[in-house]
Amino acid sequence: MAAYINGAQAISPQDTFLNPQIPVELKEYQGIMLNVLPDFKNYFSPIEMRRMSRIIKFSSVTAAECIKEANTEKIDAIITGTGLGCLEDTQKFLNKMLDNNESMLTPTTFIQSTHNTPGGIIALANKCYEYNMTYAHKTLSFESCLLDAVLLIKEGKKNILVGGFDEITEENYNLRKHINQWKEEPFSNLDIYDCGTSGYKAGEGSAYFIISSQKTGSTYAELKLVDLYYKSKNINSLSENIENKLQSAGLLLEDIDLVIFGYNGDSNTDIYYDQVKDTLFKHQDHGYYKHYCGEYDTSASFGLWMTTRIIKQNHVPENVFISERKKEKINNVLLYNQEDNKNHSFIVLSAC
Amino acid sequence: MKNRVFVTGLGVISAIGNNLAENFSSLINKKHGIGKLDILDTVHRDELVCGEIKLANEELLQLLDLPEDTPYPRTTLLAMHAAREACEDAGIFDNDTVKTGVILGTTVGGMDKSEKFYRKLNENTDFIQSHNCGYTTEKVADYLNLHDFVTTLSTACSSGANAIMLGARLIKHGLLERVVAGGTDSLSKFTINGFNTLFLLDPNPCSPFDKDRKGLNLGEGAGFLVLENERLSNNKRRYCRLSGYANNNDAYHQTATSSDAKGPYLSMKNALEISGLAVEDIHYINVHGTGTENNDLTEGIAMTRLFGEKVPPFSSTKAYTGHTLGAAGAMEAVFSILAIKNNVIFPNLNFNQPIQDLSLSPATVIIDNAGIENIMSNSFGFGGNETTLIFSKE
Amino acid sequence: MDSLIKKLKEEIIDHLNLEGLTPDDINEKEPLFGEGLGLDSIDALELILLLERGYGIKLENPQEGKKIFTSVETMAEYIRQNKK
Repeated sequence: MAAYINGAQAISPQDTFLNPQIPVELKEYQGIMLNVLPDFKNYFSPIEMRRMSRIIKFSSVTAAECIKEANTEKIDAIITGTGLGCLEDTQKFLNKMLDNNESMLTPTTFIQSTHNTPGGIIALANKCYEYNMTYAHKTLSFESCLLDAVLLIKEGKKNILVGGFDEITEENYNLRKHINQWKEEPFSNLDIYDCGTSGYKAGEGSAYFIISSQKTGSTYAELKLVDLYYKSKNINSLSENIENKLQSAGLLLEDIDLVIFGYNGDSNTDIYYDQVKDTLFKHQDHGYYKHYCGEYDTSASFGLWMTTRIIKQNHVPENVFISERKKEKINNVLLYNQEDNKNHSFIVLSAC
Repeated sequence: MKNRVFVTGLGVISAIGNNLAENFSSLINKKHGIGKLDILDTVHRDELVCGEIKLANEELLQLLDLPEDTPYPRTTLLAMHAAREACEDAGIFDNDTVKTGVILGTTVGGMDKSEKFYRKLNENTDFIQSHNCGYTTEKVADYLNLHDFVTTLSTACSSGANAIMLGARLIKHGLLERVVAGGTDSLSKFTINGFNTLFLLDPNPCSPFDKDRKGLNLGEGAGFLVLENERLSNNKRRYCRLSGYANNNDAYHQTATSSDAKGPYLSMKNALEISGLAVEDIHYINVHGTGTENNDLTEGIAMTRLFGEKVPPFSSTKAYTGHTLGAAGAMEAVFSILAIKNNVIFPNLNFNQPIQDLSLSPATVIIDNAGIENIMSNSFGFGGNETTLIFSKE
Repeated sequence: MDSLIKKLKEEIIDHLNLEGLTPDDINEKEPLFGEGLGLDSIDALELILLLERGYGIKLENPQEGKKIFTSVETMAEYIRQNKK
């Protein structure tokens, strides 16, 4: 049973929202990479917005535009993925609790803090009583959603809304400085590739997709493969796994034209991308995307958004390329993301 | 999709016992675990009762054979404890090569540790990494040495049940042969204060489905199931089969269930459909039954909608353990399976009078030889997230 | 407009985060809940804290709130009678 991507929308630190193209000009950030946001007043009334934190708003709007784009009559499932969920609400409740010694608290930020709040709100907005799931598994949160969506298509569902989102807050940014996660500021997002220093750029975003069993006029690509992999024993077992998985999807390694890597600028872990780039994928074209969106748990969803544009338009912007373009036509793109050489994910999209 | 899914191992830790045998003994002896907090330090200590596990983190580390300076949150320790028991119970050994997944449900991840050190960064920064939900799952997978597939769900109070459902689906699709699936949550000031601001906490032991119910008691714990496909479980002890499951959304309100209980009704109805059973085949429902005004009323409405006048015997076990949030669905799956295996219905404690307009009374005494073939277990959460699991004798 | 009523409207807008509304958008006679302004039970719990913090009135039972929070007018009336 084939699965198609019939809608793909993203809000990110670049001008991606409602953009049919990948922006050619990149916005430059020396510090945190924050989303470029639409005017939420065009989407919600003051009453609707009263409990919505930033992440809930940008997630909901991305979802709404994605549903609109795919022109989907009925959504059969909503699956969301987020690493840290509604961070701002969680922090607010936690801070008030600590400040006031567990008194004078109100429920709003608490009830909105759960990871499945955005998914529930989208269900409410669309009167969708169907399957509603939320994954919160670090850098595999979004890929877990995609895998679930593929299972649902096999189970006979037709249209599934899948989204990945995370927000960064000033407070969380400062907190994570203590464990040296970030690049020392100033550091430009345009310089992350092969920079030779540790740490990465903090980013955020939301990207939503309609995964469908039917090809339509709005189809971007076919979703050929989703694979999650925890703790590969070594580079050989990782390569073997990906070759096997490609084979099970009816593809050979040679069929892959472009590999888009999750290089985030942390030289301690980017070496793991180098290893597969220079061995397993040495004959493919190479690209990357985190200079657009920064690093966050569900950043692979931005990578997927970018890939939908690349395939549909058979065009890779110069900014995306690592190597020189060798392939004329891009039929199959593999998106590879990993965290600390521990959590790996592979997504393959094919032109159709 | 023809692969059938069997339960071959169980593990649980809760306020009524540190393992399967202790939990079962408490359930049939009407011994609840609701009382004053001794371990969690909160200003609400004296006004509240909870289902607290009376083991300090140091003791849990000892039971897990881990060094005393291991930085894991309590939520992680509880999960490891129950997951190890489930694997031992299923006879999974270290040298095993079967493709095995580890799937976990939790609500606030490592919050118990985060809230302790959030303002004490000079003392500890481990919580920054242990806070996220996936951390616990990775630690459980590492502890069990099972690395084939690892993921985490967080859908509020149905998280544990959803982990089990995903496990079953992955086996049915033939992607995995075996899954260790469960849920975990420790008590935290964050959740206690959260529910307190909603006026949802009963200061006394809760009384699910009672006319005068005043709210829930929070609890902590973890529950795990080992699920295996037909081939693997063929020559093993099978507790039962996971025959039905469904998740639906109530699409009504972030915390309250709709007055016609559409979401809960749909999850029960759809789970039944997947199992291929008829309403009269269900012999016991382990209800979500938190003891809040809204949950018990709407869950009762949903049961009446589906079963009509013949609502099967039902009970909530939350008056024993408290509401353990992300663990609840998994812990109650364990209890449901114990009910099938021992052919017994556990009583619903503290019930006196049925809810007006509902006239539904839960089982209040132990029913032996209950003739149980199929059990339904409900778990409902914030965000209108409703899950039903059905377990069947073979 | 009665100064307490005006103050209450401002506080409600601020406390419930009704971004984009002005005091004039809230009719003090109209219901705050359901068909009127569209608030719900969670807002009622927020308003309980508003009474406690701003006026030193502590409601022990959230059920009491239902009547008090019928409209801005009933709220003002209750505050006048119970303010400490």
